[in-house]
Amino acid sequence: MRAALLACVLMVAQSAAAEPRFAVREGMRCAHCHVNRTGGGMRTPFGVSFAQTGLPTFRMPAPFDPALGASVAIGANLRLSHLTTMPAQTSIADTVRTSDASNSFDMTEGNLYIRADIVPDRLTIYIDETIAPEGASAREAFVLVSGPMGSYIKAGRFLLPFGLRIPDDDAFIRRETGFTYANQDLGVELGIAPHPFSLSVAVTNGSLGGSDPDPFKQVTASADVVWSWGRAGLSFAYNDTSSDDFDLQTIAGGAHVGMRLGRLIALAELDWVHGSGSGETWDQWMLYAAADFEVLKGLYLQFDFQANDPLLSMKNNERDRFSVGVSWFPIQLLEIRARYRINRDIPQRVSGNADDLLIEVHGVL
Amino acid sequence: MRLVLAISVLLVASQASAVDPWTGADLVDGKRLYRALCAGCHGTSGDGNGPVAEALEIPPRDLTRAEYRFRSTASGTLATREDLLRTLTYGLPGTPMPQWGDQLSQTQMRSVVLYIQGLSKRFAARTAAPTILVDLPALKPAPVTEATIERGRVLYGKMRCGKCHGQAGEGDGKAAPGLKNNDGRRADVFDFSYGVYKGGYGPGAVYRTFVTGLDGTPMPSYGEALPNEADRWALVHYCRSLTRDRGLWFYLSEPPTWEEPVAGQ
Repeated sequence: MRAALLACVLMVAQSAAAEPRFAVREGMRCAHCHVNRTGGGMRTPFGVSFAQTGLPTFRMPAPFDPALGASVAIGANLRLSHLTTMPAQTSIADTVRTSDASNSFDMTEGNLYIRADIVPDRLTIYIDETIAPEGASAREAFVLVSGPMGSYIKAGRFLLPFGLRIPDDDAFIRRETGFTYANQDLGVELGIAPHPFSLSVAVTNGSLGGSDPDPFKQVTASADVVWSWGRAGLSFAYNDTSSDDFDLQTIAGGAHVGMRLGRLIALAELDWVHGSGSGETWDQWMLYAAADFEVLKGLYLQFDFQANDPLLSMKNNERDRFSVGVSWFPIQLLEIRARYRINRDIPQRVSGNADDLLIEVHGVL
Repeated sequence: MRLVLAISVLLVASQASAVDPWTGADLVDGKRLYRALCAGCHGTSGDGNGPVAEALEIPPRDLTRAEYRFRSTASGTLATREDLLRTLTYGLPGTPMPQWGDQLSQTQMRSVVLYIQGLSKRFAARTAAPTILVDLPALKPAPVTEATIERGRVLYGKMRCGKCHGQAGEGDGKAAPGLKNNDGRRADVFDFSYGVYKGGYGPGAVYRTFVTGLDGTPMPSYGEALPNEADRWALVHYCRSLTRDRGLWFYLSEPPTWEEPVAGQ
């Protein structure tokens, strides 16, 4: 069952758009730049303005104004990537296993956003529509009621508040916990954010966005404190998907930190997942550590290290990755990214040992 | 006949040059642009309390108070619309206030300026035209020589600039820790060695700061205390000469600012 759940997640996994490194760089919360209070998707008017002034190395005339009128605004994220997977070879005893090289262009993200402020600063309707790589579907669609001290109620279909919303659904901390950009869910979320604190709690079906036949609901929560030089937070999730002929409970917890040291932006997250069902239990942990060095405004050298023990009860099955890359915003609303990743996995999984090179063009509206 | 034609051409040319550049400015467009680009920090009402303000180390200007630091007018008086246009055009280097001059047209920026002026009752209540103390475009900086810089160094000491700015101009004078702005926040005394002047690095912009002061901060106007034009420029040149390369450590420890200094401001 776990494998089936994981397969579902992997099938729909895709890249996404939040950039917690910039939140750390500026000492801000996700909500300062994104309509979704917990980050990702459409940008607020300030987020659009920041993307055109605070990010790029060079700026071209005529800033983009997302407003279609006094109450409606639009936005978009498009990513075209070229992934080259290197050949890999492993050996177990006398058996040599190989995987071939491959390369492919992919539209890893295509999302259109629309925000309607029904009552300014109080009532918003938000739709995040995925148009690529698969057919059109609503990634997020919710009603947002805003109150004092950054409080809000979100009702509808939305991404769940857990950990750092990094733009890499394939990262262990996102893929293995299941909190990816593809793991939106139906329910309600409540939050409050008296600066510098923020707390979000979501109660959802816990069924990857579908209807939920079981009587139990998933609870997901994230709490953060943000300083001008960094941030720290905790996340928690509990989901019981048991039914008459099926028994599965999952608990996930994690801690994340971010820090700015001059031109260096560091992010880290450590998560743990405990599952139980049908008399069995299993645990796994995931680590993500990343550093961005801002060589000059808009140009970043990127490094990250990821590790995962997918089953603590089994020895010698850990896997890890190391990436080095560059991210450049030459002009406003355009990012060019290149990344080389070294992957190490168990020898039985040859493809997991194949290094890869990603080149990506990312357009933002 | 040629004389008549020449006179006609001159008349037309003089009328064309007399067209007020602000006539194309449009309050409706100004409001639209302000809401899209400025309200995130300055707030919809202009009170400096936009959704992002809580996270900014340097608080956004409360536009409803119309208390502007970088003015061509006397201390305590309102800024001119050209002053506001200049700030929009070049931004405030070293702060999150971006320069819009490379993205918005002059007409668009003038529209925003008109809208911003409308956010404060002070502008509406103004009855007389502002008195310009420093006409920035008309300034003619004295040449930079060793003698003028030395003269500036003497004036820097004589006028006790170091009391706040420190002897080396690094913002670490004895009085610096206790200084506060009008809003009660601790005043960040300017570090000349850093070289990123919020009001612009050009000699004219520094001259303007000396003469008109920075409203809302402990930096007073030295226009009356330093009436001699040559002395003013000497002090400007000396202060600008204090900028120095801070080396690799400074590069590593300071993130790039939103706005790098613009040459020729």
